[in-house]
Amino acid sequence: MAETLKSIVGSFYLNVDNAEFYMNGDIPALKVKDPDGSVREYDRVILVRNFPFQYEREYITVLDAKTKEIGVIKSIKDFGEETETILARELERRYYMPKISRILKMKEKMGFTNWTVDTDFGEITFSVKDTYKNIVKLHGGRCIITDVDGNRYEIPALSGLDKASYKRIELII
Amino acid sequence: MNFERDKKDKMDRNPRRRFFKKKAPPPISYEDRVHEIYKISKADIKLAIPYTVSVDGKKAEGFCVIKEDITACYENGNSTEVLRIDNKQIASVEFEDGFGCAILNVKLKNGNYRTICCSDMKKKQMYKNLIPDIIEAATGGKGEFEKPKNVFADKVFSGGFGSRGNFGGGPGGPGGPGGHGGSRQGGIGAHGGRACPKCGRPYRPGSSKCISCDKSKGYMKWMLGIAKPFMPKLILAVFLFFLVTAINLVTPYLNRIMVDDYIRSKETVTEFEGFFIVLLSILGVNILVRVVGMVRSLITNGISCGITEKLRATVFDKIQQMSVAAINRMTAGELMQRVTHDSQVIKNFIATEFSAIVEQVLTFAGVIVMLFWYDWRLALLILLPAPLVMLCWRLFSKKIHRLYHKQWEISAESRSILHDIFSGIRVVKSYGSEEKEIKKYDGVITNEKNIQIKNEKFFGKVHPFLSFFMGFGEFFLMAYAGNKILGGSMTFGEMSQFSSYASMIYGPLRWMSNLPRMIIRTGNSISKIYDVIEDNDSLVKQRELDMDIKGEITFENVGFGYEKGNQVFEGISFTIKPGEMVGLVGRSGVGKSTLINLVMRMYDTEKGTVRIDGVDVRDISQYSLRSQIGVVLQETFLFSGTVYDNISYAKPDATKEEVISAAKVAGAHKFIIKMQDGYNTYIGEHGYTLSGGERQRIAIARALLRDPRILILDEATSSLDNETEKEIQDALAILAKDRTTIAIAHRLSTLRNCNRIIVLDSGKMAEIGTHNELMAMKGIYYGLVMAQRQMFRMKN
Repeated sequence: MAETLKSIVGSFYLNVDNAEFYMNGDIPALKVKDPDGSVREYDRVILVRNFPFQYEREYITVLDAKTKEIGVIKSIKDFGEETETILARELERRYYMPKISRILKMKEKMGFTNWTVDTDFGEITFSVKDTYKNIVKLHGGRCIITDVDGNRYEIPALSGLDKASYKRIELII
Repeated sequence: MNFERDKKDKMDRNPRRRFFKKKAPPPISYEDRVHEIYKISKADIKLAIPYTVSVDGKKAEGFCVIKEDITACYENGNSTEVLRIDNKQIASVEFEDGFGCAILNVKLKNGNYRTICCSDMKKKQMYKNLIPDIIEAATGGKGEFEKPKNVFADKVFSGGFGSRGNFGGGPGGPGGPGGHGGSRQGGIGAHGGRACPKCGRPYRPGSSKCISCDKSKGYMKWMLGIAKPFMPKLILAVFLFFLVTAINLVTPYLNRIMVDDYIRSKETVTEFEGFFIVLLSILGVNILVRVVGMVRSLITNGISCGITEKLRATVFDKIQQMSVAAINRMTAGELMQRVTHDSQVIKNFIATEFSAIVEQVLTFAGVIVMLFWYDWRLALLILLPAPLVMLCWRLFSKKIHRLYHKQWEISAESRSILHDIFSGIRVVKSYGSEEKEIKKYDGVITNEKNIQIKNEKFFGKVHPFLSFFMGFGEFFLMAYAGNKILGGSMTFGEMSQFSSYASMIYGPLRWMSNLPRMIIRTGNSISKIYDVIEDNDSLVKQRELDMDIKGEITFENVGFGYEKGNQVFEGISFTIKPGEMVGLVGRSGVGKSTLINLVMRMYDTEKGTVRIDGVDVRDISQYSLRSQIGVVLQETFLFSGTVYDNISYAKPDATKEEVISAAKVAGAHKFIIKMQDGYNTYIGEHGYTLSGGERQRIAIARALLRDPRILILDEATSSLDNETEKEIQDALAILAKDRTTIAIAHRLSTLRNCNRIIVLDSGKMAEIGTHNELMAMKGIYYGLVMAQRQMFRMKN
């Protein structure tokens, strides 16, 4: 399967041989070498995580300024340290997902839950509607919470929470 | 018709009488009946078919008799022929679906049609099944006749025959000669008819078995089998019931000692020791009852939960094994009901009702024994109003049951209205009919309120009287015992003991009046589950070959119908070479999807064989077959889960790269990465958060990921815009190179990559060839292409 599919999809994977990332101001830019030797240049690329809940630095789709797809990066590690830093920095910039370390307050009111939490971005207050829908539980007790505005918060591991914090959210997860 | 048989037929239809009837008389064949009634020698009769409506639409009792050289009809016990056809003149036999009636026609060689039999719908299936027998009987098996054809009168009314329907709807006479099993009826497939051929009772909805004939004993035996592992616990539970009842019976006795010996003792009590002993034993007995009761309910609950789990697992397992044909007979809701609700009813029965039966019966028996042992006159007095109370309670409970049933129905109605409106809220909004819906719902809830008030009023009025009658026995007791106490022949304690027993006896009596309803409800649930378990309509397993499919598909003279005798198509033969891409074209309902269902062996063919690489599909193991076929259906179904889960459903061990590649080919990758959570995006139930085209592309990715040897695309790209469709088509064309592909499409441009195109029409394969060949033929395909071009021009 993989063989046939690959032949159709072509070489859509970007790797160290056919792609060169560099910074254009604060934003990464890209030069792609096509199999026929011609070079395409993009002065701005957008990085998208294909599996944002599972892989932070693997399977990244690269789009051009018009959000047309250029290719997919299997792992940013493959590009060497310098490029990895550029790409990692861009991903960090594009993906804002505070990590919750403690839950300070939690109140349920009229179908909304109001959270006050301690994160790596400081103390944040937000509210979540329909917790059964907006809290995604992943392997290893990891949770992704989406608030009413569409912001994402992450609990890296439920077991990592202190007892008081866990007790506050126990019923809704 | 003679009187005796009329009486018997009436008896057959009376369920009460049938209940008491010990054994059904051995079935008499129709041929024997014809011989009996019309005095035709048995040797002459090759086949006899009963009918209940005469050719001119009147009620009749008749038989169509096929003899060696003629076919004749006899009616109403009169041995003159009402119809006579020379068998040599018969060209073909056809079944006609009338309006509320079933008709058998023969076409003569001169082009005329004659109706040989007409009956109410009861005999529909039988008539359909009989067609081959009629041909056999009339031709003597030489087979020089045309094949029978169906006239789908409910779709296309064929000339004058369709009007025949107007009179068929009436009651088809008292049972007709075919009241019970004639020889021909045995041939009725269990799945086709709607009533049991043995007893004539209609099947339950969604079932193909007659509960009274098939399993009166079977399902209790099966239930016992399920309960077998829990037997030791069950026996322990019953023992504990005995214990609790026995202890319960001791309490009034202790109370009596307490009252007589200590509280109202004529002598001054000096020994406090005895008083405390009695007091403590009353306390002890109370504690003991609670503790034993607790242990008992723990055990029964454990048993019932265990049995529910086992039942659910068994039913679910069985449903997974069933053929699509069998599953199609039930709706998803019905299946859910069987797995969840019916097993719950059985659980409740074991946990609460069964326990209650044992408890109440034991208490009742125990109390009666005690009462008679002490004073038989008093016992009789207490029992005197019992029949009256039972009767009263029965009557009232019936009325109350009816009232609450009404309330239940109206609340179900209001619920279903809500469900309907909410699921179609977009239609409601777009037609601006909010006001109308509000009024409709208001009306229903007002009605619901009124019924509730009425019920509560009734209950409020009646209940006090009922309780009064219930306590009547105690009045008798008071009068009798009071008299005796005054006379000095009875102590106060004895009276209190009797009084306790009296109140203990009325509980079970009241309760027992509800027993039949509970048992019926549980019986219903058990039989419904049993119905699923006993369904033998799973696909026949034969050789179970595991093989690597190359992709050659051969249809050899294949005929198939979802209902017996109601053929979707017939005589289909073709071969698709490995790696070939074949398009299937035809009007809606012509059987295109059915044809691919046969390739996947969702159903078994009725006639002919479907082969893959020369092997009959029935010999290939289902896993081997279906794991090498990729399907994209018209209605894409996505499970609730992430996009990734849905694509990788076809191949759970696929790598991320494979999933991305498949999504790319299917044109899904570009919209997936534009969703915030990418492949981790959660798509709700049925994938309703996605558009139709997006769902379809995910389904295509799922099919591709499997790397199937045979790819089936059933209108797979119908919800896509032209541009996206072309993109996917081009990608599929490359993918299809080394795999067999069957594509169904109404948009003929979709099929431009096909090597060959098969055109189905009126249940037959009408044309086969390349696009150019078919265009040159100027047949059906040419017509379709021209019509689509016309439409395209009009659009632009």
